[in-house]
Amino acid sequence: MTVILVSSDNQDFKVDKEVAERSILIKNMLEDVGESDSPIPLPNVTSAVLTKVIEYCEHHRNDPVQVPEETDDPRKRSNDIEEWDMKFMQVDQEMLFEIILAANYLDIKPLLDVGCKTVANIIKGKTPEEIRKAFNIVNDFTPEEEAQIKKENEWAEDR
Amino acid sequence: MTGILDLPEEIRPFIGKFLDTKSIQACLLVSRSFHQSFEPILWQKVVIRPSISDPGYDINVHPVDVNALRTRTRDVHNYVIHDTVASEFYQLSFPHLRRLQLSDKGLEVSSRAAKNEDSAPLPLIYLRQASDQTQLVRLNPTPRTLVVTSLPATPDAEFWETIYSTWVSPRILHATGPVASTEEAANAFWRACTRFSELSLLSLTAEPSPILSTLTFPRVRRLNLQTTSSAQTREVKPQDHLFLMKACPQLKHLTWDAIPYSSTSTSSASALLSDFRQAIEQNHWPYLDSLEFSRLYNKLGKELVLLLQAFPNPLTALRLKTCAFNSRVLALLKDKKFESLRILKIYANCGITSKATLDILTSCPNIEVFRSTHIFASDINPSKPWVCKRLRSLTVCFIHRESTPNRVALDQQVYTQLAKLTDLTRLDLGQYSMGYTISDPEFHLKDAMNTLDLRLKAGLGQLSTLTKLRFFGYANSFQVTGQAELSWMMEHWKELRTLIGQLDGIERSALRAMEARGVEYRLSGCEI
Repeated sequence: MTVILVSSDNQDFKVDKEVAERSILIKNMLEDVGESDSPIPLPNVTSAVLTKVIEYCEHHRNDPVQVPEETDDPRKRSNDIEEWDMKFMQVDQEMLFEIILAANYLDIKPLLDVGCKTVANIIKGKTPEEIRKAFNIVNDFTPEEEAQIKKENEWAEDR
Repeated sequence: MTGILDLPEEIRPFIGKFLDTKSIQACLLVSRSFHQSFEPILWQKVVIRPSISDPGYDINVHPVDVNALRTRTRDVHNYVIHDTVASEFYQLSFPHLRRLQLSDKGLEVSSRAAKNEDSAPLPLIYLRQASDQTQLVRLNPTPRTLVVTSLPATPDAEFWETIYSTWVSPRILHATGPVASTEEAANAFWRACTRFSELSLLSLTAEPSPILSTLTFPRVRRLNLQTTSSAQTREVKPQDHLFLMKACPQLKHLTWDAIPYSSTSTSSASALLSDFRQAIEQNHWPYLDSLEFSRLYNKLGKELVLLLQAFPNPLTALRLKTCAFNSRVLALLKDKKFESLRILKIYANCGITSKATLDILTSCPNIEVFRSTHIFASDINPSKPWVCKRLRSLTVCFIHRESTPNRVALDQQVYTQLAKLTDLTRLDLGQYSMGYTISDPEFHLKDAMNTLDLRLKAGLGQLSTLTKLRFFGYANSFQVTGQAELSWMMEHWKELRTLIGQLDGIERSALRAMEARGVEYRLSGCEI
């Protein structure tokens, strides 16, 4: 069985129901609507991004459903991205953030995780100036504010 | 163009949870917007230690400002207090608290202080009252996990009473040391325990509780009971352990040290184990399928055999530390438990032989996690296939007898066998304590140096089939990995994330490439 997804720029994407249902948003929609072949509009996702998201869902169509981890350990690792996912995430920054936004909107938790891990890996080990450079951000602190913030947050220990 | 600043507020914590503290601190200095996004993440875990006016002060600790903390209570998920700190830190309410830890890290502080001559002298007395701690648990009913370790002030009855009657959904309790100094407090402690589903009670000291024998613990599925001191103290005795176990009908996983470390007599432990066995025989715990024991050797080794013999349920996990893993234990497992066994960990000092280890690999069909000490490469029989095709994690050191000739061919054989274990995600060929804990009668200390040659020319290349490998370790194995091997691993083990062992002659660019791939490298690693 297939469903039709419509991107914000009005392109139709025909995908297997099983693939589309990797998105909890779509899954719930389909459950609400019942048997129907009317297309599903996704006004927040462009066709370029939707192509990528579908590629991800196709690859992971048979993955077991993620159960929320029952752990109280706040430390999560970002170095456990599968090779396929890592290659998949080798996109320019604009696309990376678009994918994250889409994963959040479509409620695809594993994709959101992989996206956030990729961003975390860009940040890791960098100085504030290097992070600014990496993301093209302007420093809007005064030197006094910077010193103040440094002092305020010294207390934090390793997580 | 969409940039990081376009991510909505609710996504940023998802990024933050994959960052270490240092990186978050760097993020805070990037810009105002970054500061706003990442500051709450920094406050998720707050550790309070004694500050300059308190006993046990450590100069290396930057104190947390209580006023800043007051404005951040909504962000705190994990709140830790070490030693005794100012009362105001006990008067806070954190609406989203998931984990609360109260502990006395006296030892840790003193060892750090020893290195640091500037720090203030260590405290001789603790000034705080138990009522501070009680106040804190009253103000915070949401934690799922409570860790109490050798508390500076032993909790009063009200502390446990409050947890019992007001906590919303407690799940895990880790308690070490004194938990109740009066009978009333002990009663309240055990009553509070009935609300948790996982209890880890280590060297617990409490007054005897008359109500313990009347309670049941209907939620407990996981129980970890360990005793350290001798019979004279008020430590909860192994006899009480059995009482407690019997009151946990849902028990699934049991970790139990039936003998105190300092105990010299094994007769009481032996009687206790036989009581335990009787309860097992009566199928007292229908869900129990995972066992972990320590120090069952000599006479108690026999009890282990009888116990496994009596065990009616399919056994899925067995972990043995310093227990006699002799031929009878092996025969029993093989006979009755090999079908169901998924996890088998036999730690050092269990006396497992190379042949027994191989026996398990060639006849335990469903095992997924296996740990043993060593295998003599010459014991491997190439015509006897390893049946454990589901093996995900293997910890064992391959060695040669000092007298063995032609080690090159034998190494090839080891690689041939390992190459078939294509589901392996974790392979640890390291040794711990250089063979001193191997108690195979055929083993000589010199053999520990003759480990599997990890160079490509010795056959490492055969392991290109292990495409799922995420962890590769060879700590203390006397083997060194060079540039060629490292490049090969990076090329063939695409999922590799942790590498533990000695590297030598590695080019800087290769180390950088490894880092870029997210591979964590350590010279030696902790035992898992």
